[in-house]
Amino acid sequence: METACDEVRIATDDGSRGTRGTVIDPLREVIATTQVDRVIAVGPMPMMKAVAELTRPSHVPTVASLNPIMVDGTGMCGACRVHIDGQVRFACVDGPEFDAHSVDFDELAARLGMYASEERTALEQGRG
Amino acid sequence: MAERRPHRPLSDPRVAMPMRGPQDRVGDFDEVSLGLSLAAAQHEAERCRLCTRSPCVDGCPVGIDIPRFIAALMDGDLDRAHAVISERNALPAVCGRVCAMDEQCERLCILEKRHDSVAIGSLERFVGDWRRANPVEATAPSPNAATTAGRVAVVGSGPAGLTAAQDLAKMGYEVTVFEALHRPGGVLVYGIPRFRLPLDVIDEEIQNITRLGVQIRTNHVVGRTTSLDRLCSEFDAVFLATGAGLPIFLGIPGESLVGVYSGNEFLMRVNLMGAHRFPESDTPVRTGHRVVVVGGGDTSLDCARTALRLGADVSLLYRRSRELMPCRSEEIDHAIEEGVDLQCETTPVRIVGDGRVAAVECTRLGPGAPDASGRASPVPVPGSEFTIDCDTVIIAIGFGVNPTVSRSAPDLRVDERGVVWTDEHLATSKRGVFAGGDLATGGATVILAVAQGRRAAKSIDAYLSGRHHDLAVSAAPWLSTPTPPVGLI
Ligand SMILES: Cc1cc2nc3c(=O)[nH]c(=O)nc-3n(C[C@H](O)[C@H](O)[C@H](O)COP(=O)(O)OP(=O)(O)OC[C@H]3O[C@@H](n4cnc5c(N)ncnc54)[C@H](O)[C@@H]3O)c2cc1C
Ligand code: FES
Repeated sequence: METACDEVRIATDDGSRGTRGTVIDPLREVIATTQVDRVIAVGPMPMMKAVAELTRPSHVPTVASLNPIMVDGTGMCGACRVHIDGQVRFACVDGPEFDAHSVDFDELAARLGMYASEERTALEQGRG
Repeated sequence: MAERRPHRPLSDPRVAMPMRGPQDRVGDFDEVSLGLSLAAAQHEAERCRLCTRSPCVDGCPVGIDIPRFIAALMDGDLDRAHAVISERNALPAVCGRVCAMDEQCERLCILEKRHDSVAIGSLERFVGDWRRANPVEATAPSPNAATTAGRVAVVGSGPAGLTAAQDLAKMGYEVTVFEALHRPGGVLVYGIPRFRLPLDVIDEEIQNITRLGVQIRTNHVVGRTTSLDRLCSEFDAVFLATGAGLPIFLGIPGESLVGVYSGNEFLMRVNLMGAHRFPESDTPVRTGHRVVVVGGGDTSLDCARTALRLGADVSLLYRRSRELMPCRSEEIDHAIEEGVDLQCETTPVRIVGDGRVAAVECTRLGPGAPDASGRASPVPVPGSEFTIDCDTVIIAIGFGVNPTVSRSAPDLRVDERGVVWTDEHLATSKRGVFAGGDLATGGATVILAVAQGRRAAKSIDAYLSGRHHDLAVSAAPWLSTPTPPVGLI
């Protein structure tokens, strides 16, 4: 990361590296103090949603790389469907990058939780 | 050779396909119909009049010489029977199981008017299965011959791609098949359930093809992993056979609730990823107690019968009458015997639930004004609304063409539905690129895909041998014009 970036800021939950807390705090600071042309969010869904909410008021173009449950990953099953600006899109072939301000994150969160109990079963079997 | 046995009297009943009982078969995913014995197959063959007009052949989309294969079967010459079918159909054991014979060959059988038609499909399956039990070593053409004929890429390993690959390999071409999924076979593997088409039937047909030297590269999404242009530069010709696998949704409220599947997702989870064995397999599937399937074609019935086998109660909603269901009629009978609750002239208007599916609100439909196909388009009957409580909804109302390849190749002409434009030789608007199967027909049948694969192989051979030897210009008119043909659309 450091070789590709002018500046790297790290946030960790326990403060063991960088600032303590989520990436939202350093991002808020950067946006408040610098002219930002684009924000790219890649990671857990709640983080991407929080980033989208943070940049929405200032209209900073923001891209989220979505991670819905996928089955084939080739556009044939629709498991990965998400609503983008009210339109159904398949993340695997139409994305996975979308305008974060247009994503229905609540729907995505519900769909991501669909197999929570099965995921636990698989994890207990050591195959998570 | 044994002397041909006499025809049986016209009044002799048709030999019935032995089936497992409904109670027994819903308990597992094993095949429902068991196949004929040699004696039963010959007994049935003897009902055939071997008539010279042979209308049955006109009913076969690939024109199998049906009386000739049945005559060989009567004679007990199964090698010849298989050879006759193979002249036209590369996948007899598959098609003998999944073709809608009652609408094709068997419908035109001269016995059909007064008695039951000859069970042509069961006989085709018998011959295909006999070859599976008595394989012959396929001889691969020498590698030398292959390099001189040319290199062809086939995209998609469904029946169209597999047939073209087989034909081209036999003609001496070096063929590589690119398949997006981790298993070859297309809909035969990911869509049609094991209780209709066991995996070993498909695998053996595929082995026959790889034995000819055909390479199959799985996990290759053309348009993503590799581009079409790259294939065009590495191969002398390309055949696109990526099918029509894009699931269509209804566009009603609630379709993104947890518990709503497309037919393809539901079938893929089970057929391709073994979700019925979870947690032994990695992929789960959820049915809950009650499943509502929406649709009326083969896919909807396959979903309904798969859900039954996963232990759910199943209702199937179709918007027209049973007679208009676009699927094999035998499958409707099987589904009802097994306990599917078929509700015709019914459509869902909304799926409700708090995050997760709880119920489907439905309405009955009555005939309205005729649509483009001339059929009355169904309209809601006021006051007929009702609700079905359920845990899962499966939408299996049809398919569009997957746009992955065409999006990556703007010079490939498609119509507004994404169906790839082809001329009568299955050549596309891109030079050296051919297309066939569901991708070019917009969703049809296995046997039509086989027919298209075969036709494409002939055209590709004409195209390539024309380039090398100045042959076949008349069969391949695009060779004489610098720009490829361009259709309207
Ligand atoms: C559930 C179901 C049941 C059916 N039942 C019957 C039946 O009983 N009888 C009957 O006659 N027909 C039936 N059909 C229809 C029949 O299966 C199809 O018409 C036929 O399989 C079409 O063959 P195809 O070779 O054109 O495409 P497909 O079989 O769809 O194969 C296309 C292949 O291309 C691959 N592919 C797609 N995109 C790419 C890409 N970008 N790169 C690489 N590979 C790609 C796909 O993964 C797939 O393997 C059924 C269809 C379904 C869905
Ligand atoms: S994962 Fe199947 S369509 Fe995207």
